[in-house]
Amino acid sequence: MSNSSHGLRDLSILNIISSILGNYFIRKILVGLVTIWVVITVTFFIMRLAPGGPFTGERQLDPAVLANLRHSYGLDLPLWKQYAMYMLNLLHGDLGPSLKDTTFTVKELLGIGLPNSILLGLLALANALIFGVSIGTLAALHHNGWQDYTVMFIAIVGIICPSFVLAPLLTLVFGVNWGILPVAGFGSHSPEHWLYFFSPEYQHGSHWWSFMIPTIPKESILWAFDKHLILPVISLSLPVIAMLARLTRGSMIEVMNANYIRTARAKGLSERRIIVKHALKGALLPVVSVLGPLIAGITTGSVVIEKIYNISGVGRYFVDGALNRDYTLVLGTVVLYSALLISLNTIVDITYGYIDPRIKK
Amino acid sequence: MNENENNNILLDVKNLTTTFSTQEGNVAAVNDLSFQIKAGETLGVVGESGSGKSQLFMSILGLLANNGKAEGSVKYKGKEILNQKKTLEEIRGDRLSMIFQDSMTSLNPFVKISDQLTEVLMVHRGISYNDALNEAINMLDMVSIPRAKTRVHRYPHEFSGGMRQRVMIAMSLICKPDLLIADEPTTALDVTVQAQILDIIDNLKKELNMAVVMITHDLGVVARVAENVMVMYGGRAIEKGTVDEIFYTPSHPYTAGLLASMPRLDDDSNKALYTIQGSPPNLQNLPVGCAFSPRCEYVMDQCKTSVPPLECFDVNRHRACFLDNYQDLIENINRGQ
Ligand SMILES: Nc1ncnc2c1ncn2[C@@H]1O[C@H](COP(=O)(O)OP(=O)(O)O)[C@@H](O)[C@H]1O
Ligand SMILES: [Mg+2]
Repeated sequence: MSNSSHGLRDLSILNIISSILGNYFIRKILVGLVTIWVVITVTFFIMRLAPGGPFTGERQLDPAVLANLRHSYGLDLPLWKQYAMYMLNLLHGDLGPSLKDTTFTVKELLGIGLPNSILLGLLALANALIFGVSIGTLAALHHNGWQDYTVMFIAIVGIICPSFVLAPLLTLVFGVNWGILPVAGFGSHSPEHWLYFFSPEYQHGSHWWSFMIPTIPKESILWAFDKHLILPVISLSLPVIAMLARLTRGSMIEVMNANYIRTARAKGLSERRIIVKHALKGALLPVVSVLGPLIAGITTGSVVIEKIYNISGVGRYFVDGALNRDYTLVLGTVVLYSALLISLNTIVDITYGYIDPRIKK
Repeated sequence: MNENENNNILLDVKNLTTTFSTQEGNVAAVNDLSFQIKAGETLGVVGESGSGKSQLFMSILGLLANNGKAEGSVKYKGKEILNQKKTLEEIRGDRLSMIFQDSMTSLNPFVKISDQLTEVLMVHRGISYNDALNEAINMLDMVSIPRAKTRVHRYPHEFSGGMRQRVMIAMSLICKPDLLIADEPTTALDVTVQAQILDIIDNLKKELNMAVVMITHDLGVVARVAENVMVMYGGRAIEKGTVDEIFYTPSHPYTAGLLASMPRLDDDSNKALYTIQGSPPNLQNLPVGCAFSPRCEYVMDQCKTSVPPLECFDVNRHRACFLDNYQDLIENINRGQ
């Protein structure tokens, strides 16, 4: 008797758990957290597999000094212990000190780099979306016209020419040959602005999420219009523009031939209204659905671009950190990147469901 | 008298020719076709699939695909509208409306029914959204969509095929047009739903006092709703007349063949249905003479060299055929079986 009621209660707890797991958002967040954990773990051990360490340099260090250094960073502990300690600290939001750049913690470095990287990424993304979608639409509306052929030519060039090829080319032409645009150094001249976010006067009395509110210090309002960014943004976005232009063109051509566009015409709507009110939404669905991979592409692309143009961003810290075996810095950038990409992907999924009423539950 | 007649003419189509340019050559979809539609008339347009029925009316409304070109003259209430982009934009959906066969795909899946209906009124009448919405709900009531007040705010995918066709009808009639062109509106639907849709069109036609063009390959549909019939073959009109005339005394061998190949409820002999021999004409390479001549049992030398013109031979009856003795076409077919 008591046994069966016990069993029933278990069942109802199971039900609650499964209904919580059944919730779309909670499931997404759980999957995201597990993914981040897997990525961190893999990165942690792969880094240690690489030969050398943070303190191997041109000049051989005195063995005693080296042992001291390793001890002070806990690198002499067994690997599993280091891993456990790192994960424990991470849970408290502590990313540790940078092993190489001893004046900064990893968090501070990311605090300097993230705004620069986000600005670069957002500008590239906006650039890509605006130009990619509009020239793709233009090409579709003039299907087989000269506009179409021009756009497709640009698109093919953009696709066969990745940003790590494009960047040196642009640098050569605009920076070296013509000398009209700076080729390096965005953000590195004034990192102090970003340290402001971590300063006591900023953090005092503000919430932990304050950094998400765009409270850009006044003196750096012009920061976003820095001409140091022109070449990096172009190099980063051109391949994406090409990809988006092709995608938009294809889906726009398809949509403009759809029966419901014929209906819109039969209703006597103007061509403008037909495109804006009836065609664009359907034509942009494929664009929205590639937004996740696209953002990931821009993010990984920015790693190379930041390195080439010497921008103090997360991507450059990642590359430098990996080259210098700055374990904590690399792990910090990986944590940041994976959290960023996973949350953006989730947002994209939700947006998609919002645009296409047929898949809304 | 004559003046009065002219005033009654809604649509006056003269020598309409529509060609599509394709990689394989030009497709002659409509060939030198002329006809008129009077106010309040119901005209059935019949012919095999591919005979140019849809493209004829697409040309009139300026809805041709980019590779299509229409020539000739189409006058709406005396005003030239063929290829007149601006004029057509004003009268499409307002004075002349069209609904299509593919009810599942004719509504925009991304836009609420309410927005799709109201925008027609807002664009053509310039009225407010709220007024337009009331009218939209009225129209949905008129096409018998249950709970129109709430369902107007749904998306198309929440409606069945028959319901979507009702929405299309409501949308095309919301401005109370002079003419509704219904292009095989029931072909894609269940038989029972077909009957409902035809009833709805029939009732609204009376209520709104509009003319209707019913395009179909189904003679049953024509018999049910139309007063007059135009039979098309190879992009030409080959016969015109009232429903009774066409059904009882067809004057063209093709029409007679169509009728004989239609299953009849009043015929209990278990005879196999008649089929017209041969295949529909190749529109990229029409015969020099009558397009039907390669399939015609009564073909004469004359038919192979010149196209028979569509001529009036009785009050409002027209035929395009050189055959003089057409009175017993149907009997001849039945006897031959
Ligand atoms: N965009 C196009 N390009 C080439 N040919 C076309 C095009 N649209 C229609 N046609 C051709 O025009 C002919 C008439 O088509 P249609 O009017 O749709 O026939 P139906 O009588 O079945 O409605 C068909 O042979 C079709 O293949
Ligand atoms: Mg058709």
